[in-house]
Amino acid sequence: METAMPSKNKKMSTRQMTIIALMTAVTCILGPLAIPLPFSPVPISFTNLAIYFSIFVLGTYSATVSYLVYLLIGMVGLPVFSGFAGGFGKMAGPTGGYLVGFIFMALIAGFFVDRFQGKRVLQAAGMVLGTVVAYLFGTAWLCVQANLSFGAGLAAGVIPYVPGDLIKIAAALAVGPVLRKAVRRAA
Amino acid sequence: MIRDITIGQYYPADSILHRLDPRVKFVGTIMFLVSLFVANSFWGYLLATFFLAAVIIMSKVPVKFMLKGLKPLFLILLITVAFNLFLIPGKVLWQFWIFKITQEGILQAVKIGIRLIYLVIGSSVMTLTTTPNQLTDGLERLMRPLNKIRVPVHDIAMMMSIALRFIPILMEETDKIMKAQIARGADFENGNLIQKAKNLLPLLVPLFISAFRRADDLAMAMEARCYHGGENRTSMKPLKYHSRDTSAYLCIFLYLAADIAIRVLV
Repeated sequence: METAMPSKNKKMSTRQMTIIALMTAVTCILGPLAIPLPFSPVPISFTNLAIYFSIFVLGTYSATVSYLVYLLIGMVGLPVFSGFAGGFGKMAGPTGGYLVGFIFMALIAGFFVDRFQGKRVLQAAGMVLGTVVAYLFGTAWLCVQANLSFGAGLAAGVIPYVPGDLIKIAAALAVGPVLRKAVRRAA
Repeated sequence: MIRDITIGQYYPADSILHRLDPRVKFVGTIMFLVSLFVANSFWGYLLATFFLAAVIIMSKVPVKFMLKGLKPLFLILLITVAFNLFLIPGKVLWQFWIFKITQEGILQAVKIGIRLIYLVIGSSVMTLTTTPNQLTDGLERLMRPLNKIRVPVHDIAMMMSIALRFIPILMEETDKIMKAQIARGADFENGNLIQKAKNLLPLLVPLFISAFRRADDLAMAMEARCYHGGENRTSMKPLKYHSRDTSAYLCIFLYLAADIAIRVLV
């Protein structure tokens, strides 16, 4: 498995490109899904869970590229965003900032996951930090788009999602290393 | 849970909008979104309304398909309008306990609501009148200037096409894996949160392994067919501008100019 960043002068290899494309397709399948939580008004969406999985399996660079391609696919109209939404309007709409923020979440969480393999506490810290950055992007855009104060934006777009996101981080830490091991054994 | 999304949101019809080059529709959609932020008066929104209505009529897509895109927006629209209604200071029209509705608040809530609705409908026009593959081609062409700053545009477009092609295949694979595991006693629907997470493993591990094997096979097949990157490649279906595309660009920029003029004058 090549997870290292390709050298600047070298183009992506065909194999790396197909792996990223297939991971994007997997993200498109998992991304729209959600599990309802009994104690929360918002369901657990699988979008950022799929991002965490691709970080464990592909590494930071390829996972981030994979997520960018997923964004482009959602932008051209396929219903692959959470709740089977899609289209440019989802990106440009009030919740589009979170989708963009996930790019930075992938980079930050990926750095921690790659750097501290086997140390789950530090990996968890990286994921939390990445999620916070995604929240900041999402809330900033939500406030601009919907003319809300920052506090109102947080109340609408962040606070209800915190329990689900923490659960997803725990699930990713439990499942991610198993996935990585299984994939590398099979390759 | 699993359903076919191959054709995305495309609605087939024979209309001017369907025949436009996808690049025109991309640029047009972005210009329309910009205009919604430029407009801040009754006349600006009236212009946007007429433009959008004309485009919808020309597209020959039933209005209900346009409105379907608004459904996921409902909750955020509610929250947004409510916040604007109650939190904007101004001339109080109605008051109950700590809640105040002001004239300025109503105006702002209406404005925000219209903007959000038009934004989603405007984007829906593009996705309803253009196939994902056409949009992928259009995106690649529009992103070509990024080659100059070493963004691998062709590779990105290729990854998009490959992913689009493999989504239904992996969807089917997911369904098969689920059925196979259920046949062996797996339970995907009951149990508490932890059990559900554990039950995901028998689904995710085979899915990922299958995806990686397909990626390896595909890479080998592509290279066996002499694929080696974007340089010197031709396109089987190249995009070409026609006079209708030029006319459409003209309409778009005239609309945006009128919108800016209204903003400046009013």
